[in-house]
Amino acid sequence: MRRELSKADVERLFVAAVDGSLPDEDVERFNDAMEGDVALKSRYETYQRTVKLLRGQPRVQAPAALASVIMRRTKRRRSMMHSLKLHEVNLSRVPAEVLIPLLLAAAVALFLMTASP
Amino acid sequence: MAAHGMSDASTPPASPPSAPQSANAAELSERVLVSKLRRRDPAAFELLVRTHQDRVYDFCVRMVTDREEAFDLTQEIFFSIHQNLEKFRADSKLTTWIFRIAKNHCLNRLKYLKRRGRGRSEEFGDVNELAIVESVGLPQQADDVLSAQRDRQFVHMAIAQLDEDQRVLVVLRDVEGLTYEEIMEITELAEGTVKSRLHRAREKLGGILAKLESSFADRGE
Repeated sequence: MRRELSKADVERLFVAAVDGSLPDEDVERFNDAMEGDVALKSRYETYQRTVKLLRGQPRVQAPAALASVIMRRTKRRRSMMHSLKLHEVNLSRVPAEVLIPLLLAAAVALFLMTASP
Repeated sequence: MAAHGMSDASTPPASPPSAPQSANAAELSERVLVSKLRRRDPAAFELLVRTHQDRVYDFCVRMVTDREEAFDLTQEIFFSIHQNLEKFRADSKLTTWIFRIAKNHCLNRLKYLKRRGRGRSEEFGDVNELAIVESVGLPQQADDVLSAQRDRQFVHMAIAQLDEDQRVLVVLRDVEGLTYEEIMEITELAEGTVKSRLHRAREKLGGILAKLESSFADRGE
C-alpha cells in the first residue's frame, strides 16, 4: 500500500535527490510517490529546475583593479603599523622617571617663554 | 590508456594522481601559504587575494545585490583577513574561514543598508543586471544568449528576494558549490537546519522564478 510522504520526508528526499545522494532504500519509495502524485512530481520538477539554474550561474568576475586596490590599502596599513611600532619602541626605551620630569620641565619652559613680556 | 578496473594490481598507475593524493597536495600547499601569511609575506597575501577575489566578490554581489557595495565589501573582507591572520585556526580550511568572514561582513552591511535605505547603485535594475551579464561569457547562439541572459537575470532577482539567512545558504551551496560540512562551519548551524532552510529557500525561489517567468510571458503577449 502506498503511504503519503510527510513534509519532513519530502524535504529530506528532495534535498538528497538533487544532491544525488538518495539512499538505495529510498529510491523506490521516492519513485513510487512521484508516480502516484502528479502535484508532488511537478513540485519536484520545479525544485530540480531551480537548483539546476542556480548551479549553472556563471561567476561574477571581480573588477580588474580590485586586487591592486586591496594590496595598496594593506601596504599603507603595514607601513603605518610599522611606524607606530617604532614610535612605541623609542618611547618605551626612556624610563618613566626620566620622561615625566623632562616633559614637565619642557612644559614649564614653554610657559615661562610665552609668559615673559 | 587502461580502462577502469583493468589495471594490474602489481603495477599501480603512475598518473594522474588519485583524489586523496591531490587533496593532500592541496592541503600541503595551503599550509605553506598559511605559514607565509602568518609571517606577513606580501607576496603570499597577494596570491591569496588573486586566488579568492572572484569567489568573494561573486558572493558579495549576490548577497548585497549591488556591485559598488560588493566592491567595497570585498576590500574590507580582505583587509579584515589581513588583520586577523593570527586568529586563523589550522583545523579549518582557508576557504571556509574566508567565507565566514565574508558572510559576517555581508550580513552587517545588509543591516546597515536597511537602516540607511539602500545601496549606492540601483538594486538590480536593468543597467546593473546588464553589466553583470556582460561581465560573464555569453553563449554564441542568439536565442541561447537571450534565454541564458533572461535566466540569469531572473535568478539574480529571485535570490535578492530571499531572506538574508536563506540567501546565504543558497549562494554557498548552489552557486559557490560548498559542501554541507563547509556550510555548517561557516554558518555555525546544524546539518539538519542547513538542509531544511535550504529546502525552503529553494522552494521559495522556485515560486519566485515561476512568477517572474509568467509576468515576462504576459508582457511578451
